[in-house]
Amino acid sequence: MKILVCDDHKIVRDGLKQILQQLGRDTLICEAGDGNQALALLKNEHFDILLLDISLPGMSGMEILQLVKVRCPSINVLMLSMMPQEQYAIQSLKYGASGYLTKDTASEELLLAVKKVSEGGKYISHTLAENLAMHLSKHEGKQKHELLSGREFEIMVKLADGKSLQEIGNELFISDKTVSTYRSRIMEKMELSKNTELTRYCLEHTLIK
Amino acid sequence: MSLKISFMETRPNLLIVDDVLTNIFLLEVVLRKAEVNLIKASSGFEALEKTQGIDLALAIVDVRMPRMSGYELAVKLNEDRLDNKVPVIFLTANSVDELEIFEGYGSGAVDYIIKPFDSKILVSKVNVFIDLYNQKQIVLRDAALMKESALELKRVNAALKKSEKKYRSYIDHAPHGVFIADETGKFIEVNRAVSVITDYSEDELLTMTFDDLVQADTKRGEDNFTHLIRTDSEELELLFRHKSRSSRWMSMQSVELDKHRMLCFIQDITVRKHAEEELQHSLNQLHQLTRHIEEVRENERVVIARELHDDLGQALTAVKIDLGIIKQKVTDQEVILKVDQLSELVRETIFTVQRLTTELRPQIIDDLGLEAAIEWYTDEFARRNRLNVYCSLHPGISLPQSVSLIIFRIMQESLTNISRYANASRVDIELIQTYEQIEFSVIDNGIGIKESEIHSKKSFGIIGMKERTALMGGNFEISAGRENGTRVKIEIPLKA
Repeated sequence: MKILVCDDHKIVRDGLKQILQQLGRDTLICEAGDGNQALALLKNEHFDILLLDISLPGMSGMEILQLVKVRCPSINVLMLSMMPQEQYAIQSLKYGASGYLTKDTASEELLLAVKKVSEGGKYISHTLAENLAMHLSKHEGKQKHELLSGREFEIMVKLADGKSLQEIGNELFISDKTVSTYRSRIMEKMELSKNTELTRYCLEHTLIK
Repeated sequence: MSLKISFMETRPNLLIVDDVLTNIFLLEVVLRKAEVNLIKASSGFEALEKTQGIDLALAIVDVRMPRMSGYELAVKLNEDRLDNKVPVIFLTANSVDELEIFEGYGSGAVDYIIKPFDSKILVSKVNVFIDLYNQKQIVLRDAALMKESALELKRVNAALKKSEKKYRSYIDHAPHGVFIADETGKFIEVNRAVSVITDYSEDELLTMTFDDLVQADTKRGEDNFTHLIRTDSEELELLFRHKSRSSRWMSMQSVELDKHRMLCFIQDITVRKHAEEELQHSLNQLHQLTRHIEEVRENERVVIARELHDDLGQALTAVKIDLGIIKQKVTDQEVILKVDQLSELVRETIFTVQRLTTELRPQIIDDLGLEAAIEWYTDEFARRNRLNVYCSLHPGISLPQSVSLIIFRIMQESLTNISRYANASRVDIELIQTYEQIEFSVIDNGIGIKESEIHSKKSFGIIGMKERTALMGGNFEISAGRENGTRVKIEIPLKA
């Protein structure tokens, strides 16, 4: 198995290498200090896994991830970061990463993650998984219209009332283009597509009379 | 006035002199109907005595009288009456030689009546003279009135001159410049203060025009003087030329006296103007300083965050990894326990470093964009403060990093204020992009903010937000939110 470690700190790379060497003799580990080095290595050689730090000089880890997934779609990328925000994990997975690890992870977990990813699975740091679950469930038990912002709600009621984009724009002193933007966001959040559906929803929830 | 009354009320005096009483009686009868006041005398002496100081309209005098003849009386009668000679009709016997008549005319006679006379002729002759006298009196009276009017006029003129002098001296001693100019701007009158203000003498000023005195650049466009002071009834601030020193700022007000003259008042406001300029200057400096501090602070945060992350964070990560390796290589349970404790401590420290780094500089903005950054921060905020945050963010918004950062910082500041003071249960965050600008609002349903609090000296946070927005050429405002709460709104123009 060939693994490429991309981190701008040698001291971290060395540590990671030491841990990864526990995977066995058939594991080959290469290093890159930044995105350009990593991309150059990936161009000439085949790697199974890329261990990629997010905070790098020059190109950021997120940018490198996108490029790598375009150039070598088959490679499994495991993101490694000090960033605790779940948004990073979500975005990384969206961009095609196979896993996301925070750097406070124990070495056992790193090994576990590499194995899992090399087998084609996905891996998310234990601590982050919890946050992610909370993030996804934060709207649980709420009505769809309760997810709307104040302005979105205001506009939804006006749309349900049968007002045109122009009319709403005039009433709220915003352009009809802005109203149109609001409308598409409302439809997305409400999971609806037509104004009549909006009207029915509002009537059912007695948001309009 | 007494003169006038005497004309109206007294009849003209008519003197009758004859040494023969019968003649006097006869005349009296004849002149009974004439509207005159008869003064009768039987001799020249009596006549002179009785008419002393009395105005006479006519005298009818007998020529032949003892001791003083009629001629003598006529001469004496008119001796002291220089301006109002009394016309004399002589009564005479039928034989009068030409020499005698000549003598009579020389002594003031105007007519002769020969005795015995026709009473009708006498009466009509007397009436002619009375009319003449009355007319003369009217002329005299008018002349007197005219004289009086002339005197009155003279007195008024004198008073006017005095008062003009008085006001002239007031204006001359006024501390403000006062001048009158015609419609071409030429000075007609100037007071002393104008000379003091401009250092031009009064004579010099009177050869000059307003345009000579006012520096062209302070006048709006090509407006001429008349236009300038006629269209603006309010106070104007103009830069006036000084003959020997640098120009002075004047505040000027003008009044139109008539179509061709303007009365203007000027006051030297140079000191005030300079103070204003200095104030404006130091205000600008203050703005610049605030912006500079904001920038410096932001840059310093970046540096510190990077150092924390790169040096401390990575070193800790390496320590953590090494501890893991050590743990695998030892078998002593006590050591393993110690290593585990150390690992946990390092993990917590890494966490602290992450938190500090993120607080200093939210890397997430650069990595994932403003939308993700706002989402992350508001989630955290909602969780910490147990309130609901609703975001309405323009999808796929792409902003320059500097703008994103300012919006994020303003959101942070606003949310901090909300958690501290607002007592809100809901916060709405909106980010809208139009063709020409970005609108960002943070609205809460809390207790609201008072006008005095917005402008309070302690509202450094608000000042900071304002300055950050101004740095981007944007607009910042705090107003009442949808319910009772507060709305912080910024508008930043998008550069083409």
